[in-house]
Amino acid sequence: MINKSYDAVIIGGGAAGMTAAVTLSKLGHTTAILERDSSLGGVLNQCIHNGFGLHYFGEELTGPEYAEKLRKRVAETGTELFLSASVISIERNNEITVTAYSAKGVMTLTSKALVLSMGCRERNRGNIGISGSRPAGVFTAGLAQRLMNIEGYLPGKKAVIIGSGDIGLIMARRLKWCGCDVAAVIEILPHPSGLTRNIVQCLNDFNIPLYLSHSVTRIVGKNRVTGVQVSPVTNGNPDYSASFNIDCDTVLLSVGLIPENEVSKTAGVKINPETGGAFVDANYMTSVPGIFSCGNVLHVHDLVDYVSEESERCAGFASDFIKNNASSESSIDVKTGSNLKYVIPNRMHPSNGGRFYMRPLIVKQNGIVTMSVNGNIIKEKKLQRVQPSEMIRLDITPEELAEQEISDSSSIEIGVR
Amino acid sequence: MNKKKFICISCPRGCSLETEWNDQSDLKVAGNGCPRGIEYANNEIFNPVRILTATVKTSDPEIKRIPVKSIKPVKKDLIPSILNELYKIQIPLPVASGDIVLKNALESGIDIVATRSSE
Repeated sequence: MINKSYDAVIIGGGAAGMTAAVTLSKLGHTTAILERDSSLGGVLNQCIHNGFGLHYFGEELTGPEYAEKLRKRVAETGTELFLSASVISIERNNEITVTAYSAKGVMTLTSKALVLSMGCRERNRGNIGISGSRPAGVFTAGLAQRLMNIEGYLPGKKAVIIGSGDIGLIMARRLKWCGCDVAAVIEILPHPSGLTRNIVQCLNDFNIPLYLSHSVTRIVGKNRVTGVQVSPVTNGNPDYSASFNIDCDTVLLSVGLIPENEVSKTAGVKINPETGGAFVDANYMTSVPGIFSCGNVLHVHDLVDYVSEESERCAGFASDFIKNNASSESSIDVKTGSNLKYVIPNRMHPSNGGRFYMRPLIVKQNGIVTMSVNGNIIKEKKLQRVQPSEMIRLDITPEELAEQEISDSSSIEIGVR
Repeated sequence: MNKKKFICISCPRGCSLETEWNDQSDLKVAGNGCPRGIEYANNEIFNPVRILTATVKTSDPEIKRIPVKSIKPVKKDLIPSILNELYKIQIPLPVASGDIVLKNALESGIDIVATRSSE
């Protein structure tokens, strides 16, 4: 049995984990990454399309290129890698102990700080309960992406895609570019879920119909999918009187990502039901001292660039914790205000300022995100477009806060209108 | 005077563009958040192009496919033919990110390169 100690252990070697490892190593800490796949990179390895890295690296990259840049940076540090390793449990006693296994057997890694960066799993047919038979040919979009781009398989010949999130849209284009038919994309909401850019380059470019306010109410087929029943949705309910059928042999589900926190729960980390990720304080620390969280496992991001930025900040705070430099100044609640689903992190140290990520609940052009203290707006940022599929980021500097005389009893809120 | 509204796809922002033109020399673009929007609008109206991404077969049984991209956007209507050329290829490993997999695809002057190094 392998027993090793580090300053910091990182669970998950995708964008968040790799960035955290580089940051922590550069700050002088011994680090290790536990990754279940046979190489680092996470979901980036299968995201062969472009659109990554414009902010973080200053150039437009494909997913594999982004991953490779980070992989090279990790290799330049002394970070120890445990690949094809699966974490079973986490315990917090005097130190933090992670139990994992790989082909080499069971191992326990102890550390002063732990970074949770496991990313997400996909919501599947069982989670949303689509009626019908259970033929072969039903995949989550990310699984189909892995099968196509890594393993070299076509999931089928003619697909219907459920959900207009980015993964579904990207897969629509991918299927077309591999000679498959995409009969339709079905979206339950009255507006698309993915980036507008992807509606253009993945649907409009190929004349793939998008049915808004519709739902797949039945999957049909005996051994293999032969079609789906599609119904319009009014007031949240399917209108079966207006149902129609679409022939297909494949169904791809792009119906949401769920932060993969099963192992976090073994440590007693409290999970926020609004995000599916851990509750974190101003320093990205969870409810368990020394355990930090960043990236998609904390909240689902749209841009990997923001994941890397968040991960750098989180790793910096983890470093402070290891060095016992964590701020003893009490932090203040940052409330989730109007038209927002959540704000992360939801606490702040006024002397540090903060960078906040949030998701709106509304769709509009020309919106404004504001931070207010005791009801007075102290910061505003204009947004060309506001929609739930586009994460908003708001920065506040210590200087901007210093003008406000913030005290422990101040009420700070971020909202969008 | 021709007018067209569309979304710029140069970056994830997706700015809404409004364009007006009589011919290519007097194209006016509004709504772009950066200069790339002007170039995009120009291309989209007169010469639509797209960055192409795909995977190519390797000769290795472990690493079955390598992801590739066009180093610059290619003409939209050339894409199906370029894809057909890529699907005929089988590249030997090792390969490094940036290696040319298909040079001057269909006389477009644009190379298709690998986007991942085999380990």
